[in-house]
Amino acid sequence: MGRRTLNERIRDRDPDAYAELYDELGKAVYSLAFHALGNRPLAEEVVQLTFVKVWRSAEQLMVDRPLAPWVYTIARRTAIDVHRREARHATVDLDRDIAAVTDTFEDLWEIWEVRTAVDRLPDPERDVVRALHFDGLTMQGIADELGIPVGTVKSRSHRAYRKLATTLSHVRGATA
Amino acid sequence: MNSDDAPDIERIRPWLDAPAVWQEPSDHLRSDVLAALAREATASTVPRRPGAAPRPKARRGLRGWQSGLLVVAAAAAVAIAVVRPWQSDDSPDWTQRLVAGPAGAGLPAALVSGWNEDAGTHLQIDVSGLPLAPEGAFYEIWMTAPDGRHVSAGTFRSGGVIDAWSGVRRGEFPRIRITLEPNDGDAALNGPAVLDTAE
Repeated sequence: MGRRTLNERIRDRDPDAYAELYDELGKAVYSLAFHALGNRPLAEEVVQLTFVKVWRSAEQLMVDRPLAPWVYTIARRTAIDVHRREARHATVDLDRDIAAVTDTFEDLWEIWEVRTAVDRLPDPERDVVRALHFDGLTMQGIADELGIPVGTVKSRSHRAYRKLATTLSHVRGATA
Repeated sequence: MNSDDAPDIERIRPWLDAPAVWQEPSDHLRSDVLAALAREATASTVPRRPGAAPRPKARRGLRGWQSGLLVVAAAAAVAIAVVRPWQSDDSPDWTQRLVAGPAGAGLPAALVSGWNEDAGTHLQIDVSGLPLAPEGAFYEIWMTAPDGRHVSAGTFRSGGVIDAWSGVRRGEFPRIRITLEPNDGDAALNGPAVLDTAE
């Protein structure tokens, strides 16, 4: 008998497969949830609920289809459900905050795809891209921070951008 | 950046600038998720209602779940808290009353029902009189040992019936507290107690 695929093992509720699934997509689910809800505890709740729902609906998984879009669909629906639950209990201030994040539901697929892509970068390349886009450092600042030559920072960022541009060629340009 | 890939990068740059792309979950979230799934597996093996039919698909690989994930849950001593993801139909092993702590304005109260599980403790906490956590804060459930050691059993923002799971046992961590914690990324117990075990 051949080696079973991850999809088959997820369908059969193999515990190691769920750990692998978390390692592969857990951060993408978290980023999606954080983008939708803007709140760390709620985002973590979405991650937990998403994986429980995946487990509960494992029989419905079509093993010849890609796994990630299926998990994405469950995660997105879960984030919306949590958003609605919070909205029902919202105070005036929270109403305003929730209204501000509602529009972000349209961006969830892009956030998911970008997070998945950056997670697949080698650590040195991802660290440089993160420092540029999240920490707001300059090339020189990154070089100082990491203790490496500026030329190395530039070459790592160049390689990372090329990979991301290829991996994310299907992602629409952001309007923001 | 070279000019040959500049257009593509400019197209995706706003996505890379989105803070959510770079957010990291808590270190314990992986163990929390696996503990939640172990709980699902356990629930599927122990029918909650007399005569309830087992779910055939859910029984696959259960030995693996229990020997693997439950051990992970116990070893990590981590926990989850989810609002009503499942309902326990069997009687709790114990109950415990929580009363307003020093920061518990408005006299909130809670009744904790507990089940002693192989991998730790399942808590179901019925919270009343506790307002929605302020923006930038959340409530956190703690199980505390007599020597002061404490373990988080999960977080929530609004009252109601909260299901929580901890990898520690009540015998060693008998005191249950709920604190109001700032959402600052610090996983330590820093906030004031709004509910505490009644003496």
